[in-house]
Amino acid sequence: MFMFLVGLFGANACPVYIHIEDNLGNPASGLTVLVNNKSMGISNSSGILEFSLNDGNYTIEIVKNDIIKSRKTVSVVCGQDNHFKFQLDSPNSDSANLKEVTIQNKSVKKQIEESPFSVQVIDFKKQYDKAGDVGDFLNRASGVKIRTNGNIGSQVQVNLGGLQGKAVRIFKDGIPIELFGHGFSLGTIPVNMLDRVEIYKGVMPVYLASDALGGGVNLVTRTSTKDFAEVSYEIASFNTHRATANLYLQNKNNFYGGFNGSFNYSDNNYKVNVPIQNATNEEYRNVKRFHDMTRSNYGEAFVGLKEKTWADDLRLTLIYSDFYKQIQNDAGMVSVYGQAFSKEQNYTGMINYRKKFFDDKLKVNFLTNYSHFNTKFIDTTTVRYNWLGEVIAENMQQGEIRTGNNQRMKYNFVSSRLNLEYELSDRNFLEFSQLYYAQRRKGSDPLGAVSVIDGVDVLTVPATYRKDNMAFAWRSLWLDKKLESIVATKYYHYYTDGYTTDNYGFAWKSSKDDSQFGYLGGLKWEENNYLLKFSYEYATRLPDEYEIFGDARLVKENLDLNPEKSHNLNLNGQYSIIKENSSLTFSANLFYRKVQDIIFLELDIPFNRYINYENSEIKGFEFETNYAPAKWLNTGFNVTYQDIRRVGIKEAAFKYLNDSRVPNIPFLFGNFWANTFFGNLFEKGDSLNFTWNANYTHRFFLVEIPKNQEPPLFGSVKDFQTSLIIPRDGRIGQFSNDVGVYYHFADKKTTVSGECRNIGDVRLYDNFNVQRPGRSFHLKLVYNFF
Amino acid sequence: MKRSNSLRSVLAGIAACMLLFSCSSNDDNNTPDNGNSDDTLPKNETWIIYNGAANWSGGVYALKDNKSREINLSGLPFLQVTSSLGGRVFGKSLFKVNDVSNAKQGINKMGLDATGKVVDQGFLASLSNAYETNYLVASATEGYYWDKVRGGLKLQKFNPTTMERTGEIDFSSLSEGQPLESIGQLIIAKRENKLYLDLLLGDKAAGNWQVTPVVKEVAIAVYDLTTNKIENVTKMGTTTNLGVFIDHVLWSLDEVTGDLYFASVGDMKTQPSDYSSKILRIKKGEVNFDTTFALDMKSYQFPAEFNRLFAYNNKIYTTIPSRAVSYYGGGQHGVRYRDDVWFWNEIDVTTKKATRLNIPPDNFYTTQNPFYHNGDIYFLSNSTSDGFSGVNQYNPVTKEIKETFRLKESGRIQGFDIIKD
Repeated sequence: MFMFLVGLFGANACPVYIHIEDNLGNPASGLTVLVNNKSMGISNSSGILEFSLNDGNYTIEIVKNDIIKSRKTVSVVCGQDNHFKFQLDSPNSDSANLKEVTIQNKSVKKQIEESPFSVQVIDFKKQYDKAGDVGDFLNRASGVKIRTNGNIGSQVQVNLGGLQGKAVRIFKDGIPIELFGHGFSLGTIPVNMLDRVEIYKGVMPVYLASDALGGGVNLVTRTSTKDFAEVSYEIASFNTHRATANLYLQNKNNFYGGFNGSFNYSDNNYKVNVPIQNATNEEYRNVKRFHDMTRSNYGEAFVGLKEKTWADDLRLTLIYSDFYKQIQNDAGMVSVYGQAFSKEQNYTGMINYRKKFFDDKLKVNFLTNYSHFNTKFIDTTTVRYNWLGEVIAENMQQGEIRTGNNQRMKYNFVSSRLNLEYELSDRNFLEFSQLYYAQRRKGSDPLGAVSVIDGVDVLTVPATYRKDNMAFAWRSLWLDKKLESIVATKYYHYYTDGYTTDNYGFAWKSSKDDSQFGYLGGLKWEENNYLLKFSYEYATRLPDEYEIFGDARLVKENLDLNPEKSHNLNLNGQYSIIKENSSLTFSANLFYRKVQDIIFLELDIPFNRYINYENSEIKGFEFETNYAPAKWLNTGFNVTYQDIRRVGIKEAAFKYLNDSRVPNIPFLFGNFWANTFFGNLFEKGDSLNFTWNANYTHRFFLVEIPKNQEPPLFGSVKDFQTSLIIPRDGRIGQFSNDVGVYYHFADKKTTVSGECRNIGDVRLYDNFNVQRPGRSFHLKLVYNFF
Repeated sequence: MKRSNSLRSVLAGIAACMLLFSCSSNDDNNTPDNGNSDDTLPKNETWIIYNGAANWSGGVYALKDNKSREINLSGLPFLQVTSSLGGRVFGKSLFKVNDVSNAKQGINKMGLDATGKVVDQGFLASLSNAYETNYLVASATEGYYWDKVRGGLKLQKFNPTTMERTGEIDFSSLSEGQPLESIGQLIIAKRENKLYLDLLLGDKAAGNWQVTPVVKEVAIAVYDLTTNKIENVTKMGTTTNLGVFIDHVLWSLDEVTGDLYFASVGDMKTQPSDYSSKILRIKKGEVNFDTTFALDMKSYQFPAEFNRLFAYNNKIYTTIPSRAVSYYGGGQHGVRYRDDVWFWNEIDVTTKKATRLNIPPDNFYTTQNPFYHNGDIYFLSNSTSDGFSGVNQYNPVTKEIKETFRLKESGRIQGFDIIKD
């Protein structure tokens, strides 16, 4: 956990640890550490100082009373561990003859993964040559299933331990990702924009305190501590273009600035198999999508100051993003639209302040931001299209999707996060985190938001939603630091007001607030090659504004809605065999979730509404093996099975669905990969890599099937038709393969890569019957200026 | 060697944990426990049962030798459907609106395979994206449907055997230039080789699913299939909006008298007293409304609507709520309209007297009309307070009522048909 927090507070850089001991092995505190003659701080009572550096060689000097006690040149390699230990000859010696003892390697990835939580980290530092977006990488992680509604720009859900949608919270540097607009989302963001992704399964760490029912994903933005400039450009099938630019500059006064930006464009005109009607009936044909163009821009510029007496880091960030997406089809891939689109612009300002106080015993990290969104959802056409892009009817009622939308909205968001950690002793730590979130929206939709009851455009009535999430934890190290424990309590509160109607048709603004307590605990045991972890959280997800107030049109309000709650347990084990040129790692995770009061959309005419209705139980396991028999080869596989079933049905009439699988969620899936690395191929210093990634998703069901009629896991489907099984063409699962080749030039500045995704051109479905792209080709160029 | 042993231990531990964790105490068994068949039940009939869960999804089941008075559908083969609203039967074929996934708009045809299981047998797609495909199966080869995209004032023809569209009948001459004009959107009935189709000319207010007619009246267009001409358009005031949902027709042909009945629901949002819900009639051999006849819901309960209709031998079988209801004004929906308030009644068309039948009330989760079979009229009910989801049968001659069957822990009943061998 300590390492994890170190990683947190150095979240934007490659962490380096200086550990200083006297000749007796006691921690040596109060010593100044210089890196290339620049003071980085003073060692704490544990003899430790941590800070961030980028790749490269540095001269490190340990100084006391202006006397150099030790000097050494070290090599920092990001992606590996940079732990440097110094031992002084005697506690009071003025001699400069100090000797190096050991260098321990522990990457940020490893530090976080060794926390008591069930967590996985995808480190992108070596992945900037890869095509695609972040979602592609998440999908290869053990226990993670990405649910995509198409290609670039489409909606993406993350399934963690069987829970998905609103149950899984996604953050960018600890701030809810929705505050950054669709220009920065799992469906649009290229890997070059990120340092890493942290995936927390079931139990959320204190520093990400939030009402997440099934865990969360934190996207950590890429940054640097040395001057740095990189651009990348990818061209791919379906007229897809992606570009990124990353810049970081810092002067001697520790004033720094930079820019991270990305651009995405795609026609998304891949072929899909869809019904097309002729004069008498319909036939299924492969046709190109014609109205799914997506364009997004995202840019963040930042300036800041580092290592001042009043701040370790103070950063101001300004963000602009926009997003335009045409809408092609419904979730059944049957209804086709030719003119509907959505559009948004997002403006965000963000301030981040970090400082350590009281001999580094108290660490403070404060981040606040303000966002303003303008969004449009336009569906006003009076014509209708078929899948060939032909107009088949004119002068119809406005709206292809429902009954028309001409929605224009303005959103204002404020979000703040405060993280504190206090070191009671070298083995006891207190942590506190608070997330405040406020949203206000106002707009209009004369077509789609007029209340049936009294004819009011409900979007013209301002609606607000605020929530406070707090967490307080005590973390301890035991038994020579082999055992780590954490206990925490969490508090959730929200307030919302909006438009409502009563039983007599009167409308007014009403409000609701509610609060809930939660708690968590975790244990980690680490010795030699073993790592064992157990974690538990009583998790909560607060209902959001839409679930409470609906839209007064299709979805009616329910002011009695309660938070969703879940008991989440994880048991993780890992065993590693690491030799000089080879390594073998096994990791396994058993997980259990007992979810209560699941918020369920009760379908009805004329109004739907959200109610606390379902309970479910999830039992599952993940297993992953990584094997590197030689330096040039790395291979492995993972498999996840999650048994997600409805339980506790009270109505006698519906008890036949007890223990039925929750529909539309894959329950068996896995990945296989092989990567090769060849160096000095054409000239000294170059490298050529090949990758092969295979993904398997077992068939899953679109609707609930009573358990005793569920088809066997691998057998044929006998008792009912297969059209409500995904895939519906009789395959037992979906199997796709991606391959890639990557060449890094010897100048270390240029990388060229080519990938072929879904080489078998297999029909893939993630969510309902929305077909994903077939075979695609990607060419990517990355250039580092300095 | 030590490391290797450790590795084996770890792997064995993980395998054991996985095994333990993934095992379930429940035994999978596909054996139907519905074996308590009843000798009093006709052997030559197959019962088609549509059941539904809270989200309206469910299955279509066929029971032949395993019929019983208490039916547990668990373990029986079925056709899975996303919207399990009871369909209509013609001969040995079943029809319902939209395909099994409820994503494709159109008409779905189902039937029994050689093993007696319900299977998909064809689909006629609508061009429309919306839930609005009304239809009529008149014979094995004659069918009609409404497809807004092909033209609101055009009635489409199809062949129910091949499930192919075969043409259309144009009613554009009835247009008055209103934004929404339709023929047969909610009523397509056939009698004496004539089609009786609702003619709706008006517009739809934002957020309202009902069309508001430009003139407050109901209209039926009569089309003569012999001469292929529009024979008449008959109108009647004091009510509006014939029919309600497309999968739930509100017309009925009294097979004894030959009279044709229609139910209007009125404006369900405002529920005006002067244009209340009514049951109207076109007598046998006529092409005009019988202006001397109307059953007014106001006479029995108000505000409320007629939402089921079956006519047999000068009696109307419908539901009348035990208290006032409102489809829109129920606050959180399901509090009033979907309560156990819909009591089955027999109304004498001459005296207009309503007699409540001793059958569990229904909460309107099923929308299927009663039907006549072999001397009895069958009624579907879901009653939460009675814990009842099932069917009762009523003999209109002896006035005897008996429970046909009830479902046991098998969801709501959302449709029931009987197919004779």
